[in-house]
Amino acid sequence: MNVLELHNVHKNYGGPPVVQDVSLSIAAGQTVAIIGPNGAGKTTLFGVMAGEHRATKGSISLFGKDATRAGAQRLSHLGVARTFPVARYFLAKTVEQNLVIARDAHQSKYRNPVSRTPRSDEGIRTALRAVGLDELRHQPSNTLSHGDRKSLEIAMALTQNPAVLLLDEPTAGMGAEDIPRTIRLLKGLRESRPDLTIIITAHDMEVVFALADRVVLMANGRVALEGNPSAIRDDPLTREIYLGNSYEGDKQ
Amino acid sequence: MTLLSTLISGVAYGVPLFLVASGLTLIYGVIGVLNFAHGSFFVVGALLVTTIIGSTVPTVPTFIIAVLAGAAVVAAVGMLTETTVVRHLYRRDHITMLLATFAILLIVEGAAEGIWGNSSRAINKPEILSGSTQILGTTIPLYDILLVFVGAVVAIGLFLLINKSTFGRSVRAIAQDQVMGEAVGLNTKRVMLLVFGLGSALAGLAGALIAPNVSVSPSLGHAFILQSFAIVIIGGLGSVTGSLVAALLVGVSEAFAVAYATYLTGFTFYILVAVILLVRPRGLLGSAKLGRA
Amino acid sequence: MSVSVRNPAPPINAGPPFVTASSRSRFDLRPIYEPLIFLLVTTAAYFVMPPNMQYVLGIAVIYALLATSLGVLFGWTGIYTFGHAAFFGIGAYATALLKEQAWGPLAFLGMSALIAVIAAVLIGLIGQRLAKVEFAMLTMIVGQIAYLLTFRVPVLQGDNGIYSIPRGDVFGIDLTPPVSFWWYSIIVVAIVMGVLRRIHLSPFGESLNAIRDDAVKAAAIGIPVKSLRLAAFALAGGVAGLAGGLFAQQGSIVTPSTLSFTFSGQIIIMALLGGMMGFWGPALGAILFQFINALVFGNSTHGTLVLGIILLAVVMLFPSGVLGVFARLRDLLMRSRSRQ
Repeated sequence: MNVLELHNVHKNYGGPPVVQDVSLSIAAGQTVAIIGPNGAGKTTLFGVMAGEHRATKGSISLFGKDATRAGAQRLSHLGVARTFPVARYFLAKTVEQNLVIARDAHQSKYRNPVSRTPRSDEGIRTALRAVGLDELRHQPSNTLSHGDRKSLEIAMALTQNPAVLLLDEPTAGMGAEDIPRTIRLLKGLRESRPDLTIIITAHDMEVVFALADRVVLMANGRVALEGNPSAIRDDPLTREIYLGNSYEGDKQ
Repeated sequence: MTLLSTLISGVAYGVPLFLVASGLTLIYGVIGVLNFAHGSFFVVGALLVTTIIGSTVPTVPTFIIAVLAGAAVVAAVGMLTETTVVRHLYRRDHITMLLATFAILLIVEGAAEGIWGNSSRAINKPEILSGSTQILGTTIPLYDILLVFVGAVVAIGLFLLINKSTFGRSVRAIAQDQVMGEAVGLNTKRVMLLVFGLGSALAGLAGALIAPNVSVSPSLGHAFILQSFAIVIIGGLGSVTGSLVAALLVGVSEAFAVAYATYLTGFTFYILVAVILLVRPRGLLGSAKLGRA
Repeated sequence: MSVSVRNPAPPINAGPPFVTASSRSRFDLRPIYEPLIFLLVTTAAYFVMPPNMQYVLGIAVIYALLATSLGVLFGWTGIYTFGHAAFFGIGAYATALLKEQAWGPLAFLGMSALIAVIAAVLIGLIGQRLAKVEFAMLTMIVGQIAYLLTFRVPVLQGDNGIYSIPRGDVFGIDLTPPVSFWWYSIIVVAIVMGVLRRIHLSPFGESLNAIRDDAVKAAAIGIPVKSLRLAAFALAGGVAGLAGGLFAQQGSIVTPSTLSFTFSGQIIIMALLGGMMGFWGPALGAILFQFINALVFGNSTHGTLVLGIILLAVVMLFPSGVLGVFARLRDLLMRSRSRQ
């Protein structure tokens, strides 16, 4: 069954369309990478999928149910978790407290204003171990290194036990030493959660080819090509679209 | 009351509101600072004029000098505020700036009470402006015509200044992106200071012009800043054109309420605010920053 | 634990200098013992003070509650409001208008809170789609409308205000003597503070903090940002209304000044003086402010001017208030000790 389906999705901000006529079907357990040069509309499409922006036209369904008008908060409760290109989390809290907030939000604990002071639990420990932040759990989160910040955000998503994980530029701004770590982390995640659907946007082709089952290449707001990673890499259209523009897919 | 006279008195009522609101929105659009003290600047303009004119019946030149002096002193107060307080807080968060300008509001108002006392003052108009004239068979107060004229001059002047002058070009650049403005060699510090001064001068001008029509006291600003806040919100924060449209809308609807529906007097603008906020939460011509005024 | 030296990130503005480890105990006792300490300390102070200072303290603890309700908005949730006096005033006028009813004093407080909650929900709904700054302007407008209405609506008596508001009796105890009213008001204030502290520490309170720190992220992890902001506004309005009811009973008179724009400013200054971020900051600031006001500027005719200067000084020099200064001192102390 398809977890996420987009039908003829358009998006504009009053001006010309940034995303037009995008249709995608993503099956459970797939890892899909959305790639494309700057300005291709992948970040906007990602925002539409995450409920941050609302599609101007077209429809989106999640597990076969219409979710076109669902906002970010609603989608999160429907099992869609996301990260941001620049990691977003709560700076004034420790690593562990960030995960507690994410877990409680998912369990709708905010509904009870007089319930007990929230505490950590085993699910949180597991998420911390999965991303390798177990040692740093009492560390104030604003003191983390760049790579650890990205990992923290993934851990926050994991505590929400998502069915779909949207990772917007998971390796953005990372140094060469942190990228393999992130790839290992995500590979491990796919092994332990084979039913988890992962959608990533990436500039870094190393990540795309290491992880993706399927690649969606965008150009000028449309889907230009779609297929398995090697087919996309070998297609002459890919080179044409990137026009030598930071395309390093076959550097190894 | 005919339709024409109602319309003109409405526009005349709207002009001071436009002046105050356009200054407020200009400062917000360019610098990103919502100046809570703006209303107190307006009052200082009015109070200064009452002091200069006193109980005399001023001649037209005296009146003009008094009004310009009011605007100039308020511009100086505004620029002093920018250099001593506002400038040091650009890098702090939003709330710090709001609180600081709120503090300045209290300080200016308190100082005005200290200088001018709490009593109300009234001044005379120049003799020639206190009469009225006949247009198309209806009686129109000359002072209203003056206000409409000043409003038109300021609106056109602001439009030309922002859209056609070199200064305007740097203003727009800085409103778009301050860092870029600095990077391409604009003196952002100076431009921001001048914008703050200009916005304040508009408040002072409004206060000076309204002085002969109302009784002036340090608390005059409360009711007025409220209305100009409302105008800035319904016009769209940062849009000078929006504040012009909104001010005229408020002025004219108030004049029609006075003429045809007295029970609504004083409440029209609350109704307008509520309706517009519900329909268009970003205001009539809302944009976060001043793109094109 | 202290800030790591591994990666000395610059302190984020207004963030606490320490991140305290979450309590290990399953039952967090802070909502019980903290208000109890507050009650005991203020009561001890009350009984050693001369009567004129007792009067100041009596008002100060009511303002402590009021300032804490403002802290719910500014400090916990990051909602800026410049018309908070409106809810205090609505609560005070509710108790005043209902004075003929043969109710117990606690019922009046309940009604004050309820009416203020209704007003807050209405305003919150109107302003729900507004951005932060526009919402701040809206609250200022609403506050001013409430103030002007007291002059427009005849039953509110304009400048004369409404007087002869009875204190009544609770559990057979007559509240007319100052000492009995002290006990009544401090117990009410302490209980409400305890409830607020409980809310502050609950996942609901944590979610409000999350919204304050990053509303986009909060929505992305599933926190209903709009409804929680509305809930916080209603909570703050209700508590302010209750404080207003208490204030009306205390002074037995209500005047438009309880709704005024200057008073809204004073509440902000109180909360800011203590520090918006900590739970007890606003309460501490309110008490401090009342005493500074009574001792230093008691009969000053330049109240507004002095108020403005204090606010400006606090904002520019000590943005995190008295609690922030304490925290900074503690930080220095810890650092110098660890050096030895």
